[in-house]
Amino acid sequence: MNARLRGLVYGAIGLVLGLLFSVLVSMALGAFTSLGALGFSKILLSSLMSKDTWISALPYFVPIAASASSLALAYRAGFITIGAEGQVMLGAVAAYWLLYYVIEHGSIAAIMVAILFAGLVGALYGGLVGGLRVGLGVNEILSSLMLNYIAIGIVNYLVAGPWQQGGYTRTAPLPANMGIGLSVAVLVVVIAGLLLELFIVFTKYGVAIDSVRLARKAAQTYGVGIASTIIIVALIQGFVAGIGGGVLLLQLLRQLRSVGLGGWGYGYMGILAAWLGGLRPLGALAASLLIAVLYSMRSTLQLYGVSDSFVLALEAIIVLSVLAFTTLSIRRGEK
Amino acid sequence: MVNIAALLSQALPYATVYALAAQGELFLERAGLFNLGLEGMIYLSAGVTAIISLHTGSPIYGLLAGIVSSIVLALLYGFFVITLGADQAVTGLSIVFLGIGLGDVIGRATGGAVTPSIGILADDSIVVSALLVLPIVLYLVLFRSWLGYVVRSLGENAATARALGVPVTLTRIAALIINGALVGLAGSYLFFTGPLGSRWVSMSLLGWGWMSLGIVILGYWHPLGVVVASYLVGLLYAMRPLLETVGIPSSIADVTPYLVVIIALAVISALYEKMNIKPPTAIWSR
Repeated sequence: MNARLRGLVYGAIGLVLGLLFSVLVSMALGAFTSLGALGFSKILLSSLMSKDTWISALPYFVPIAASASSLALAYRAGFITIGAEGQVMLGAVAAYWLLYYVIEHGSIAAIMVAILFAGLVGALYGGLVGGLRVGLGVNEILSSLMLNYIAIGIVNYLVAGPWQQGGYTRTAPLPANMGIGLSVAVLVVVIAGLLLELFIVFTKYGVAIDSVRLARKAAQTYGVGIASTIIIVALIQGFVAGIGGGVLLLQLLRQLRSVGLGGWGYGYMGILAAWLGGLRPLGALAASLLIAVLYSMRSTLQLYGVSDSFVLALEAIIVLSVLAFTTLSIRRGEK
Repeated sequence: MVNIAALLSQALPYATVYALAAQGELFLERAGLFNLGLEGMIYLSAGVTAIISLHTGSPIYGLLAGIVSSIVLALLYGFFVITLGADQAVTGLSIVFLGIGLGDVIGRATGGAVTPSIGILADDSIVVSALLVLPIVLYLVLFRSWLGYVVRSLGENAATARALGVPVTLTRIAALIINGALVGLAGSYLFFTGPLGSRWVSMSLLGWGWMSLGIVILGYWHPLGVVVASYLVGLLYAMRPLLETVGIPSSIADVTPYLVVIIALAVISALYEKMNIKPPTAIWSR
């Protein structure tokens, strides 16, 4: 067996074991909830088996997958941004502004322009993180996080100020003709993920991006521009996450409301999905679906009086468990 | 007219939370590991502190339990990073989610009841320890003692340190326990004296851990720099209501600290380089 195939096989074994183990840990952690371990296990398993859960997860899959597949690209370059959250938010803001205040009608062309504009704004926000890193040596983890909080501030300012409609801190909903269906939304994100995968596998940039993280000296020797690679990655990452935000607005949100410091959370869940998907855009898409399913379970859990944040812990356990088992399995494969 | 003295003292509780968490992280990063999980550790510690002090009626038990819970997360991080050799970034980020998720479930179990508070004496002693004693002790340990050279050697070149006989794993586990304890204390203290005042409100204790990570850089991995940075960011926090009185919308005032910190991060690195203060090589090199 060649080394690459061997790595894949051992990686897959680790993935399966990790997922199984995480289910067991999750069940045990159910003891922390009012349901107890057994009651929680029943709900967890019946939700995972139910088709309805998977379908109701799709609207959340859209922003999570856009974040995750784009972050996978960034992480491959060792560019550990966590800014997808803010980019999704500003993408939604940008799409709303363009459609509601500028174009003011909902033709197909207008909607396409709005989605692209959302991507553009996301790219600028992402590019800012890349620029700060390359130009001034600012740690991207922190700058992107601060920018997420600033995005929250921007949304809260708009919905309580210039864009406020009525007595609540929210904008007017988009008119019915300004929007897209769920299937289109999913399609846009899946195509974006697919393009990212092709970009990594079939263009010279894929090699350059990997080399910046894995073999920086070699990259420099062979003429890969570290700074330019990071900037390109930052722009593409922000672009795709921004598109996710635009699509999210047009399909699910329809209007903007005030947000807490936790944000919407899609960009953060995208981080987990990116790693869970093995830093491959296609893997990240699959992982995003799983994360989205867990996320959509939170309303069921709330019905039983379980805090919806518990879902966050479960997502972390899946990632940690898969991380542990794939690390061990791949190491065993290398022996 | 602004009451400057009041403002300066209002910054103290914020600064204390930041200083504790950031000094804990500073120590760990000097030993060559970076734990991005601070946000989750603070949150879990606050939740555990809430429930234990409510059920035992003793804020001290709550505080200790919070510290222990945070140490457990730090050691979990250590298990992944040291034992399994897993990626530090993904492990740390997962700890964030784990801590917030568990912390919220545990904190909510208090039903928002007001728990016994730690009282003014304990409050003051934590403030003084965090802002005066801890930075001096850490400075002496890290930069003026034999032990400090051992710890810092791991942040520069762990392989060489190992070859010279430094017990790398053991030192790092000790650093993780210190990291967990200080970050956990930050979380407990935040629960008692933070915006909630000994009462659990879901999702209202966010952002503290992340900001502390930023403060480590603002203070450029130096205990004295970190305590100054903690106080300045605490001051920014305390100034938010003031910004609203001069007509800045609350949504913008709320995020001013983040805005200022990002600008500060951008200008400060060059400044420190000139002063010849260097970050640990294993953690950050330009």
